[in-house]
Amino acid sequence: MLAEKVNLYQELAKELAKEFAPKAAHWDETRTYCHENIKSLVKARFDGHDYSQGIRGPGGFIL
Amino acid sequence: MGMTIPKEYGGLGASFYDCALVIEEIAKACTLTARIVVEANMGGISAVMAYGTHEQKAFCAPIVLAGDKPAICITEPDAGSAATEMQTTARKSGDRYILNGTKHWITGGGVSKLHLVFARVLDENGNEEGIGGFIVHHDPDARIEPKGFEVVRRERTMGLCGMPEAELKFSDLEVGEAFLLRPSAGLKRSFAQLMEAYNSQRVGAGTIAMGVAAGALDRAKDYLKMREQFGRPLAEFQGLQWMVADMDASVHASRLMLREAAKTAQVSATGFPDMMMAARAKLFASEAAIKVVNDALQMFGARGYGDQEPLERMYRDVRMFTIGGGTAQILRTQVAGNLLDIKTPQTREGYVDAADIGSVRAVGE
Repeated sequence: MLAEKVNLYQELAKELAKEFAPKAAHWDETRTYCHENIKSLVKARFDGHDYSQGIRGPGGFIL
Repeated sequence: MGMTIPKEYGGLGASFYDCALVIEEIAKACTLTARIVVEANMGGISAVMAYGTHEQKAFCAPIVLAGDKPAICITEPDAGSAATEMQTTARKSGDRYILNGTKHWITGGGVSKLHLVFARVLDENGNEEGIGGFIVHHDPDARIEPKGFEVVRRERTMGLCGMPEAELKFSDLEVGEAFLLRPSAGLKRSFAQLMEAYNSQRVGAGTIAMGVAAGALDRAKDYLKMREQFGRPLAEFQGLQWMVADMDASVHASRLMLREAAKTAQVSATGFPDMMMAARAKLFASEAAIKVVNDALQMFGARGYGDQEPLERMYRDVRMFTIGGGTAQILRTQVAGNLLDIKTPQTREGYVDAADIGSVRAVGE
C-alpha cells in the first residue's frame, strides 16, 4: 500500500472523533444541538499549531 | 470551526481538501457534528470569504471562529430544486434593503447566528436587479434580534435529529446595504457566482455521507470477525465477504472522487471546487453511502435494526444526503448538462446551448 503523508488536521480530527462518538446517540434521541462538541472544535483550533506544515516523526508530531 | 477562514481574519487558512479529511473522521463518529464542520468552513462562510468586502469578512469571521454554524437560506416553499424561482425580495430603501419572504428547510434555523439570505434584489422603483445574498445576524443570547426576523417552526426529521431544520419568515426585515454580498460579476450574475461557493458545500456534504459509510464499514468488519454462527466467524462466509468487498470499493471510490473535487479548488479561478466534479462526487458518494450503511446494518441482523448499535441512526442520518444540497436528480441533470454541453434543466421553450445562452431553439429543430 502506498504511504500517505500524515495530515495533522486529520490526526486531530481522529482524536476529536473519539470524544464525539459516545455522545452521538444523545443528540439524536433528545433532538438537541451539540453545543458541547462545538466548544471542543473551537478549542482545538485555538491550540495554535500550524497543522498544515506538520509531519509525523518517530517521537510524535514535529511542528 | 472556521479552519478555511484566511489567517488574516483569524482562521487557519486551510484548504477544502484539508477540511474534507477532517469531515470524514468526524462523520465516522457523529454525523451532526460533521454537518456543523461543513457549514462552518464551506458554503455560506466561504462565499463571504470569497466575495465579501473586508468589513463583511471581518464581521463574519469572529462569529464563526467562536463556534457559529452559518445558515445558508435559499430554499422556499415554492422554490426547492428550482432555486431561481425564489419569491423573497429585498427592496432598496435609502441605505438599506427591506426583506420580505419565507425560507424553509433552513439547516440550523434557530441556532445559527449568521445567515446568508438569498433574495430578489429590487431597486427603489421595484425593478429587479438580480438575486443577491444578504448577511443577517440573529443572536437572541446577545440580544441581537432584528425586527422582522422570525423562526416560525422546526421540522421533525428522520435523521440528523440534533440539527434544526426550520422555517424562517422575514417581514420588512431591514438589512444595511453594507451587508449585501456583491460578487465581481455584478447583481445580474450574482446568484451564479455565489453558487460557486455551493460546490464546496457539496464536496463537504458528500464527504459526510462517505464518512458515515466508512464508519459503518469499520463496524461491519469488526463484527464479521467477532460474531460466530454455525460454529465459525461470519467473516468466513463468502456471501458476506463479497458484500464487505463491495462496500469497501464504494467507499474508496467515493473518497477518491470527493478528494479529487476538493483539490480542484486549489487551482480553479473561482477558488472553489469544479462544479462538475463536485456534483458527480456528491451524487456518487451519497447514493453509495446509503447502500453501504444499509448493508452494514444487514450484517448486524436484528442487532443492527435496534438502537443497541449506531447503525439504525447512521442509516437515518445518511438518507438526507441524496436530498439536501442538491438532490441526486438535480446533480445528474448538472452532470448531464456538462457532458452534453447544453443548459439544463430543459424548459418548455426548448433547449439552450451552454456556449450560446442567447440562442434558443425548439427541441427537434
